[in-house]
Amino acid sequence: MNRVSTSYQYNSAQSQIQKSGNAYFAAQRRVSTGRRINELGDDPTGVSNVISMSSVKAGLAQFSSNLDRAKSRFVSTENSFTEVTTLLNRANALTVSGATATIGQNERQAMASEMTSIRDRLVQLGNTKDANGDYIFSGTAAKTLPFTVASGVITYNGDLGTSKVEAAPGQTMDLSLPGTQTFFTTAFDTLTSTITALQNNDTATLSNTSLTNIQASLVSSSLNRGEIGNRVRTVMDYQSDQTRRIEELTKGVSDVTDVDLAQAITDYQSAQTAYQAALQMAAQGNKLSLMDFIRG
Amino acid sequence: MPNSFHGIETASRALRAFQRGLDTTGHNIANVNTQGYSRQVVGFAATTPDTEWNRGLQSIGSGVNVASISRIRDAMLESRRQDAYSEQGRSEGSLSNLEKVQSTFLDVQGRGISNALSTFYNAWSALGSNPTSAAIQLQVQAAGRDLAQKVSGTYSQLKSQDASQTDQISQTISGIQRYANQIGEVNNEIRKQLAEGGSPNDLFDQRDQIISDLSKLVNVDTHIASDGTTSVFIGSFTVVDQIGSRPFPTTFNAASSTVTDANGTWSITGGKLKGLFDNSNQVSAYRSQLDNLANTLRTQVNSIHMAGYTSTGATGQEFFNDSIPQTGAADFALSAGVDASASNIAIGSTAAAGDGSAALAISALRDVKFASLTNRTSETFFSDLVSTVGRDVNVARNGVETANALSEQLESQVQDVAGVNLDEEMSNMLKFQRSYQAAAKVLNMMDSVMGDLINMLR
Repeated sequence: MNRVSTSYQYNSAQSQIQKSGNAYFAAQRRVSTGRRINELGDDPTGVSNVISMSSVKAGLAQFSSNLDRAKSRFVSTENSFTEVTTLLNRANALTVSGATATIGQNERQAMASEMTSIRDRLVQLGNTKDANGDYIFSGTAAKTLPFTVASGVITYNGDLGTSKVEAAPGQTMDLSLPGTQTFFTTAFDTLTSTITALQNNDTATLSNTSLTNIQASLVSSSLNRGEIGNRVRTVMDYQSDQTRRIEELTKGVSDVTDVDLAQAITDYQSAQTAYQAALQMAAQGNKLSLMDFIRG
Repeated sequence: MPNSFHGIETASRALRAFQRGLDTTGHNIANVNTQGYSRQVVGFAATTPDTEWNRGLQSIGSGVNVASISRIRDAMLESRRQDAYSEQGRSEGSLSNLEKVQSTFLDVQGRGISNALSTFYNAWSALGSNPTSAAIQLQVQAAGRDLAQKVSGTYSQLKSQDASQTDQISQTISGIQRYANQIGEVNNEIRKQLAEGGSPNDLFDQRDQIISDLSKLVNVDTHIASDGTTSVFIGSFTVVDQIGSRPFPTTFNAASSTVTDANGTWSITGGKLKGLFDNSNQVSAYRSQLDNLANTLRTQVNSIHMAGYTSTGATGQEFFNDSIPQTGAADFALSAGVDASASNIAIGSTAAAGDGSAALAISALRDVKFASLTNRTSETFFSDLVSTVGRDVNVARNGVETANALSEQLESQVQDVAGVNLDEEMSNMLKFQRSYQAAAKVLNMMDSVMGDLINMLR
């Protein structure tokens, strides 16, 4: 049987109180903050995982927001081509009836003037801006009016580059469709020559060259609409994948940083019991002493 | 023929001896709370008997004497406790500063450099995907400024930590000197008292206590010389010898864990001093990592930025401030131009307004593994730094826990041997009290026997 030093008995009770007190307060903090990790030292590997997950998550959110811009841009583009298609359909109808021998000159003049407003509208559509005020069809020269018309001649002032958005790490998506400048100038020139043919009652040109060219532009316009539709679907695919991964990462981060509340509360209660016991021990544990039994 | 007063003398010797016993018990009780006190015990011994001729030689006992008053201790345990104290001092010295270091990294709260880095790259991605937006240019400017400020702010906090560490090291060194001086003084007193034939138990305790305290500051070895003085060695440096204390070197080199004076360079392997050295090395390593990160970002971002064009068509501008040689994290900031106006941010690789390719190229740096960051991306590099800090804290915490447990255990063993137990002292007190009373009765009885004899002659 060991002998025990009296002052050490008190000291060790004191250090027990301190130890169980610290454990109690740590458990309390985990419950009240709801976080398992409050300092780097609590779980270094966990912290590093959380950092990389949070960064990937923030990146995905950014890509998704970039794609929102692409989507709104594609919607504007699609609307432009829808209207272009309508216009070209009307031009096609006018040309078909203009090429009919039974139509009189006055009617052809009226058609020519309608065709002129169609051509003007086409130029306007070529100069469509997106939500940012950027021209959709000027390549990367976003602030340059792409199409200008002087004395009946159309000029493309933009460039052949394309604006891009970042859609995924290391992946970009073109905002512009290739060849739109050629499409608009060709359609413009086709309409101009059709107007001239209408004015000149040149039914031969109207029924051949004009019709062929207008229909070629129509096909090209529909192809562009189709391509834009594809891109919108790609954007949606990207975004739904991003949303899914963001959800996974949010859960992943929470798995690492958040406490399992049921577990935390149980831990808290057992730490409290231990602390209480240590305090009670200190208050009562040293009641026995020979001094109480010596009289006088 | 024995002295007639032999019995009286025997009884009075016993009274004196038991008085010493009571005194020592009182001394033990008085020192029940004295740090480093070893309980003392009185060693009783029967005195030399008186020998007389009474039809042959006969020896008659002459009572008791106090042969020794010695302290009860276990030198082996105490030397192990000393080593445990050194380890405890080392780990505590290391942890207290690391706790402060970890709180300078706010990444757990989501407000740290890792967040700023990710926000920075995202802002470039947004700008590249939306090159004509002035609002996003401002966003890039703000993100760049925030990143630079967080890196340089963390760096400067670590730097001020360094200054306070240097203070702590100097204080620890002067503490070592103070203890060495005290040991030297106590040594002199002990030598004097021993030479006069005393047993200065309380001075021994005092010296042991100072050595214990010293071993918390630095690794200590001791040797007791024949004259009772204790020589103290710190590694191969003699800080106290038989003559007295010597000046402990005040010049130190944390990187090599050494102290230096005119006579040489000495390794420090334990105690708080070693903990502080280790800690200072860790903090400088963290700082140089931040330097590395800042310089890499400068080089990489600037090289794309300078080739790019701003919204006003300007080119050749830096994004972060830079110079040759590079200056690290301390003054990491935006370049003067970008700091003054977000319109100085390069966006495209051409002057075209819708060209965001330069911004996209900077955004793509996020996934580039840089040779200067030992083939890691900037984000991985930093998150590795953060987890290194966390791991260092963790190791230090465990170290403190282990060292505390060990020294507590040894302290308990030392105290079991050397500490005062009041119950034991109480029962000793009763024992001496009763013995004293009995001896007094003997004296009383002897007195009355003598009285009877004297009265007979009247």
